[in-house]
Amino acid sequence: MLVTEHQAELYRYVKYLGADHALAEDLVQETFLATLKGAWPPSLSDVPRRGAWLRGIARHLLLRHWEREVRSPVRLDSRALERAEQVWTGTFPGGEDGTLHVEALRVCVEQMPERSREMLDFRYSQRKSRSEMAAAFSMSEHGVKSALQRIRARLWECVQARLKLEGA
Amino acid sequence: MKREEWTDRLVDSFLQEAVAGEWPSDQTRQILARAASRGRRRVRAWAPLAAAAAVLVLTAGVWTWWPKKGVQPPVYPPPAASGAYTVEGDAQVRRGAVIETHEGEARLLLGGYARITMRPGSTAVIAGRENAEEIFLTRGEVECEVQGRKDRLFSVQTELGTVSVVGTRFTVQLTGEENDMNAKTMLVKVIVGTVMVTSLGASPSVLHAGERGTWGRRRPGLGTERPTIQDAKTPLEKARAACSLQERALKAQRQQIENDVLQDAEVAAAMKASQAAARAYHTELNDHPEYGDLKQAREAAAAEFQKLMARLRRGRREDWQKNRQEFSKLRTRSAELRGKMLKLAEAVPELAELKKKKQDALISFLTKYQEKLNANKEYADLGKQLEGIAEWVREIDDQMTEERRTRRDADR
Repeated sequence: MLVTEHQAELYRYVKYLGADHALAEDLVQETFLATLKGAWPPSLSDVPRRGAWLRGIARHLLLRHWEREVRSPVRLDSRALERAEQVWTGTFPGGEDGTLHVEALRVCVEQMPERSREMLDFRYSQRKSRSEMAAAFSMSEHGVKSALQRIRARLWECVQARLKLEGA
Repeated sequence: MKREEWTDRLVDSFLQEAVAGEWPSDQTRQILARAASRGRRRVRAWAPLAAAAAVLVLTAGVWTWWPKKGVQPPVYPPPAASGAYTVEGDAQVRRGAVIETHEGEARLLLGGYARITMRPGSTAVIAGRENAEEIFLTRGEVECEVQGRKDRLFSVQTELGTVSVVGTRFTVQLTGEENDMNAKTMLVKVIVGTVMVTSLGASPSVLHAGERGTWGRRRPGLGTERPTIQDAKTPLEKARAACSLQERALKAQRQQIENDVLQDAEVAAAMKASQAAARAYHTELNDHPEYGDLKQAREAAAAEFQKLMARLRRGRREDWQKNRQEFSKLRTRSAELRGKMLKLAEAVPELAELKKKKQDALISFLTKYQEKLNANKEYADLGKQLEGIAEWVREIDDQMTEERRTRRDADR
């Protein structure tokens, strides 16, 4: 129950904090293994509280991982992580795991203009660097960064509008 | 970081899932496997009540997640792909399609239960049928994650052998020269669970989590690591080497049990039936005139490929650039022909029937074999001892890493 209900949420949460796919999977496993060692969840019936408790463990494990990884490019302190948690709980107040948002995002991506979709494809499917994208789209690297930020902001507006429409 | 930046990061991480297909996979089995491997030492430290309750929570998780008969969706999901890939021919992802990756990775979802990550520079043909999904790997590497259920099979075929599973996570890598079977090697690495490898003219081999094996004309058989106790200098290195020796001894015992189980009358009969079904299918397939033509055309393409490779090896860098197109054309042609050969096997009713029989016989053999192994107490004990050793090895490795880090810091 604990694993099936919260693993997708935890995976998305640690990826949002900066973990890559492999690390995110590893941290999801570590989080549940850590729950076997110690305290019990606050309440088995309170999904949001249980999610917050698990996210706390995952956050702590991620911080420990970054502390160990000398070469890790990601550096976040506990205050920044607290702010990240506020954004997460603000977005998913009912303890949702983000599946609906990802589904809505998929639809929104398809509705984007062709150039924006091409940029998303370069950035996410083909994993091109900012400099490679700048060369391909005849833009500066800073221009690519701003363009992607604008696309993401538009997509987020679209996601929120869709979910509101669907009553989610 | 400001609030807006975190929101941007949230969308960024969701796009990795929506566009690049980095979806969250089911981790229940991995968690259970890791919990079990750590369990032996931890039980002493835990309160028994906490352990029992924790197992209950996890078991409930598996029960909820484990696919059950009767809840299967009415429509069988068609093959799906995401990520950076190209499809030869009609550019549609379906059975018989040749999927190629170049610089990026691609993910395939077959039958809703087999998730395949194709590493850059790989080519695979989607084959198989409902509940017996299969890919034919012609080059590169794939990582497969299969949700287990007794009546479902997943196989990765290569020219050097077939890796068959009913539920696990593993990788298959083909190395060596393309279109030259004698120079190729197949490396299989198991991450979780157990796989069965059937290779040309050899008896089936079983690989367990953490193990790897190499197959090929030049380097057949299971890969083994030589213990280096005489080379060990520090106490930690000695402990590590001692663990490796003990591990080898236990694995040899386990292999002996696996061989004995293969001799068991029921299992041996199932294996014979499976081999006979495979032979019947391959004989019929090879006798089919259209298949013979395709096979000949593929062999001709392979010979041409070899010639081109030999020419390029002798030539200069500029020749390589010039012939790049021809090289890629031949590679694609070879994979396309393989796709046509697989499609033919599905399109001709007699062949499709024989193929189904072959796969059903294989499922029946694998299930019987696994059941007999599961019922063997000594085998289970060996598995637990090996898990214990693996845990020590992990701890020793951690300490060795820590030691190296401390030495490096001190040097600085």
